[in-house]
Amino acid sequence: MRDCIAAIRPYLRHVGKPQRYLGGELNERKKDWAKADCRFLFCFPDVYEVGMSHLGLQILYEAVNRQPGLLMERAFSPWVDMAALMERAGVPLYGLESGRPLGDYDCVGFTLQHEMSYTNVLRMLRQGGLDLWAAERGAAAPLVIAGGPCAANVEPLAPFLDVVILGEGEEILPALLRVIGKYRRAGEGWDPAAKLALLRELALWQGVYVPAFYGPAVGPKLEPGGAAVPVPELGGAAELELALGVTREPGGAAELAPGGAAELAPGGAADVGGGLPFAPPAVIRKTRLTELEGAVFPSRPLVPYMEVVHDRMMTEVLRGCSRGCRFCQAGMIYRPVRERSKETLLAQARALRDNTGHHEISLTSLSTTDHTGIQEIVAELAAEFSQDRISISLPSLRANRFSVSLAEEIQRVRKTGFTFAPEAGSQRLRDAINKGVTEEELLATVSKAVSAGWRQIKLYFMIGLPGETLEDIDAIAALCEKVARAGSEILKARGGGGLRVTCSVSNFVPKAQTPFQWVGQDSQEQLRAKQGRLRQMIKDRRVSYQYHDAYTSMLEAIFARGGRELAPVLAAAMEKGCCFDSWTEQLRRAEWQAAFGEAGWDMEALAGRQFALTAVLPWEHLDYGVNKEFLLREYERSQQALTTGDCRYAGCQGCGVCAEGGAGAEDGAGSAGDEGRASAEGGVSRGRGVGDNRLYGEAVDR
Amino acid sequence: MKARICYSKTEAGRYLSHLDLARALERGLRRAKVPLAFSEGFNPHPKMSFAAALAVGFTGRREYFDVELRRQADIAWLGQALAAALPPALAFVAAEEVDQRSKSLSAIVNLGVYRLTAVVAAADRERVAAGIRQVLTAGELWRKPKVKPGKKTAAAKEVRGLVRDIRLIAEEPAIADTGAGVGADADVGASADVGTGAGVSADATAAAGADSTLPTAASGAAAGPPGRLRLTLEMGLRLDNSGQLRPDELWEMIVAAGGFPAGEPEDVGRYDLLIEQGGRVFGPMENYDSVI
Repeated sequence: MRDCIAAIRPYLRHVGKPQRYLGGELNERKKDWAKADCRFLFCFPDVYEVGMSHLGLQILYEAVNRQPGLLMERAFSPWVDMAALMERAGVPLYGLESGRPLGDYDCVGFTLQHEMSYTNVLRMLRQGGLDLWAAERGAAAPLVIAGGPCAANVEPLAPFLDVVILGEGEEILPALLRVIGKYRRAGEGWDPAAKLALLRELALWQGVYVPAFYGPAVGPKLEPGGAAVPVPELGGAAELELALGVTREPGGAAELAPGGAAELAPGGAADVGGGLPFAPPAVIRKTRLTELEGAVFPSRPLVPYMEVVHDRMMTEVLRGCSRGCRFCQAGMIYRPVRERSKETLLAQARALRDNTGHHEISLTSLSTTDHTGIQEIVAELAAEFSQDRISISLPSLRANRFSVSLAEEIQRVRKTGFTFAPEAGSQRLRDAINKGVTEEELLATVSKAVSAGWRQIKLYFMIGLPGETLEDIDAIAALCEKVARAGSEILKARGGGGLRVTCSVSNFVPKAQTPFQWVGQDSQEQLRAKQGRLRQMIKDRRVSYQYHDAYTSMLEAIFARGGRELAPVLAAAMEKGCCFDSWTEQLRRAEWQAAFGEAGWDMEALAGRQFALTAVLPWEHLDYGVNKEFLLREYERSQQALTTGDCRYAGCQGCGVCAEGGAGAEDGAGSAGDEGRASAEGGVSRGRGVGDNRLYGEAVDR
Repeated sequence: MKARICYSKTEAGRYLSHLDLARALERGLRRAKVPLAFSEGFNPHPKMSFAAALAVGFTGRREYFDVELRRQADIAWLGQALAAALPPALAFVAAEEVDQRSKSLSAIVNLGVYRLTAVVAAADRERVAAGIRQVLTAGELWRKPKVKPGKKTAAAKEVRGLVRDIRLIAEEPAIADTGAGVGADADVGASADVGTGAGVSADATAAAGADSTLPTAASGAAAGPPGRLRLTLEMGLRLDNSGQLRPDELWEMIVAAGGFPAGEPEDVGRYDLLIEQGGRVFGPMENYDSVI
């Protein structure tokens, strides 16, 4: 066995933050390699301190490693200094637990948190010694899988991946690994026919997308945004078989190698088709947990030695959000809302405290203050944790009547700033994006917060939103000044100084699976002009102004709505040295420009393309439960600045997610919740043993 | 109540910074359910104080810190609980109660004992001894200015007063067993930019060696030519307000004074932290004294 950690040890004193490359943290799980049926390397395409702040990693680490026979280890992108040293020394990317090279694992998985990590994904494949392109990797290479929010339009990466998980991973991943292990252990390693049979079996599971089975039938270059349409037995699938060297019988079914073949077949080509040619589903539906309450939770998480971005305990109070902000991808793809009970959350918080020793606990979710019991949870947690000086943090607060008393509880131990996200400056635009916050609510909340002792308020905005005018930009400045003035008046009456307001502005990036998925991004010139105007308009010295790099936002927009035609561009950019693109000082504009230019693409045109409402979108075949009619309706309502209520308070709005697994979207409308839940339980049910891989296959509706 | 804890920074903790270490200890104390006393203010933190910071890249055999508790606790219980709670990078050694008004560790500990292992040519054995003699008999010793990108340059400094003693305590033939074969890779070329931003500076030594390969620890040993020696030096270095001298810096001075080529030290660790007072040398714990 090759120990890469031993191999890099002599170099560690020459790199920054060597602790990134060593593992060995508290609560690390070192499982017996020889006894594992499937060895999985989880790859986080960013540096250690970013990846180790990610709750998803900790959840999957627990979900996989708690299972006998399954082993999950971790790898992160080595920072540029270390990457250069490893390359010179010939040390491949390795798992932190065992020090084994990436190529030793049965399966390698990437989490796709944002588009700017894509070149890191490719670089990690390269650093692990694998071919980038799935079709060229051959049968002996580890299976390369991916998941996470960017799976919602994974097409730019699709040709590099064998399998993509759509939706929540903690149940399906262990089941998937078990099947992969079964295939890899049977017979003599990976033979081409076995790999094809495995992919065919997996392609029938709900939540599993096998890109090779979907692709253009013939090879002309795709038009911008051209969709990948499923063409079973032609195009992609046939190419894959060719690549794997599988010989085909006249009937179309792949010939399986003798010895273990019969065992490999069930669930795959032979079984499912009943003699018919293999037919992957035309639309792949996401998988999700029916409820969060009993879901696997990492109450004994890894505790890094070095300082990471979020150095604290993390609970997950709820998943999903039905507020329906029209720009928000997470708010669409993680539906429906599922809460954890107060009792479970408090028990998990205590376990975290005892097992980590952190002095801060974060109550995470997309919208924590929406939890029905948040007041009590925070009050009880604060009472119990304050004597040990454990502070509580919330990602951000909604501007409403609860937030100040909540914040006071939260900040009993450590006092930090107050953060709100009005997202737009004018009421009209806030209505158009369905951000249900009014100026009165915001000002009232700020006044309360200032009265309670806060001196600092941070406000998040976006520019470049669909339908935005210059008046909307000016309204951002005006709102910030109003907040500063209102707060300062209260402070002045008490003889204090002014209120400091931070105005943080990001650029709108249209995302797949949202009501704004058809909309093009503002041009670079427009974005920069708006950033400049805002700088001019903010005259109040109490308000400080921060904004994001427009170029990065453009790249994000290109990949967020791109198709497979962008895969060669990604590969070329990576070959030119692009990596860590979300790190401003690492972003290589010239190289990106060249990669797009050589492929004949104009970057701004790609980011700015407006899709026809009738167009087949690149992610048309990836179904996150929210139906297209709903997205379309929401887009149209946005243009009229009409708001849409949250189904928890305003009744079902017919997004279709609750009807998932049932007949159609219309069934969900009218009666929210119970009916949809019952049918969903018939689909992906919990509790029936995650090891039973057939579970997911059965749920597919064909 | 105030407790004094002795612990080790193990091989697994070699690359922890002082801040990492303090955090890991605080978390260990919290997991052990030790009733910590906290500072007041907006950002309360436990009242812990250390003897002397230990650099990234060094292990520590007997390191110390004091911690204040908000109520009386049984010291034996505390020791057991902490021993069970510390992460792999740290190991518990001993605990004892100290007077609440006792002087801080950093005020009393004034001597660090370090052990440094390096590989040299057997033919240079006498040059090493001569280098040590020269350093010890020199009227003054000048530490080179420290230049680090992005940081303030530390001026050259006279440090002879910080060197208490240097002894060669072990030598053995060096066998090619380190570096796991990587160091022997001929393609591994050196470049001057390697090592920027690292906590441990390696710049000077590479220049001294004729074999300017990638500056691995064992550049000589891995290649395994006959007649290499692995030497272990023990260095007593004074810790005072005028600053610390690092044992690897002192090794560079010995190399320069002796005029022999040498790679970087293979290993550097702090062996003990002591108090030298009125001609006596003793440890900061009553029951765990150790005298050189």
